[in-house]
Amino acid sequence: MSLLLFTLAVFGIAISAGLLGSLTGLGGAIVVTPALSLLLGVDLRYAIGASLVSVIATSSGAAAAYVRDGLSNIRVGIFLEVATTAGAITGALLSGRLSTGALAVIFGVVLLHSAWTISRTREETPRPKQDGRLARWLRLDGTYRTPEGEVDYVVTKEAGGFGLMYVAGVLSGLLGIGSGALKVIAMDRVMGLPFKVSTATSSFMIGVTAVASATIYLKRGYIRPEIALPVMLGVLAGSMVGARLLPRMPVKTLRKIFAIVVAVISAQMIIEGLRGKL
Amino acid sequence: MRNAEDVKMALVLSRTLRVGVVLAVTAGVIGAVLYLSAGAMAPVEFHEFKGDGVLFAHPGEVLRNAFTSESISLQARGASIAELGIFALILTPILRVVLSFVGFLRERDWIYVGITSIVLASLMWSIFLR
Repeated sequence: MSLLLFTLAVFGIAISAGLLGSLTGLGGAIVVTPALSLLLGVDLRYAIGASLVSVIATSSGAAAAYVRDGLSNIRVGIFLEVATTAGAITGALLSGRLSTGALAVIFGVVLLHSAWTISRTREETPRPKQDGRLARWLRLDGTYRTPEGEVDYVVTKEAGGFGLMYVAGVLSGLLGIGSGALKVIAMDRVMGLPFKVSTATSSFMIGVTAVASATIYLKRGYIRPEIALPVMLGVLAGSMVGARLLPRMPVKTLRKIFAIVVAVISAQMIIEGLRGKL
Repeated sequence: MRNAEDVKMALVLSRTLRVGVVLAVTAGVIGAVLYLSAGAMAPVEFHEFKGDGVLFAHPGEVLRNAFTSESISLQARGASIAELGIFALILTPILRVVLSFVGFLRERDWIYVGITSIVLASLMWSIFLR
């Protein structure tokens, strides 16, 4: 394949992944890696390196707006980054010891979980009334703006959230994804932060988490500009378009369709991984 | 609950993130145009990891290839400029952590000075490890 054709193909895949990622809330990276390896036969390690770069770009772009609007809880983010960066380093070191087949199977399982999450409608988690002792000491409680005015919120179960964040970091470093879904679960369902604050804080944290493993991948030579660049530009463009389209789309129907698509991709990842074809 | 210092810090962090992404995209597009115009028909093959990308892992060398080195092909120069864009992107969140460290230092918020330095230390460890 010529460089031009390869670049265009990667760019096209990345745009679709960014679009799908922002319409489902999954993020582009989790779709771009299997697409590159299944459709173009790109070595999984190059695909993971490239998608990690796109993760840093999209999360930094999104976080710039969230942080400016005071939606990201900076203290919660930095506190939990201790866990995610440690996890990301663990994951990146671990990935060097696993075969691409094993990586593909783990990727497929995580992807299957994402398919299941987007197929269900989100239920409101009850908000805690009383903050935890650590949360008060670290001043994690916060305020955010809603259409009905400023709302105060409290943070609980700091240790549980912290532990789950370590796992999110490991998966991020291992698979080159942002693991935003797991980060949101840790904050929204476990620690009791409002859903909007959870997603905004997750975007804020993803960049730092991804960088902790990206530097290790860079040194190993997994990050090639010829792949990483069209992936970064495509996912960025796709997710920006997706964010514009989102309010005008029949999101519920789309999520159902995408859940099936993602489930099929994950099944293929698992099968190809087990056959040792990737 | 948001004090003035926190709001100021949020604005600085937000601007840093935006500028970093814009820089990365700009360098990336310039680099891609250069390497594509020079070698659009060059065959590429990424089916198997060969480890030759380590070429791009040394910032000093990439910088030299991007700007000064005379003997380098346009295609390699373009790829090096694109790689600089990727470096800029990787530096953005690191700079964000450094700036929040400075912010907490100025607020004399010692707990968060400590927490931020742990995050910074693990980032440094991942950069300089081996």
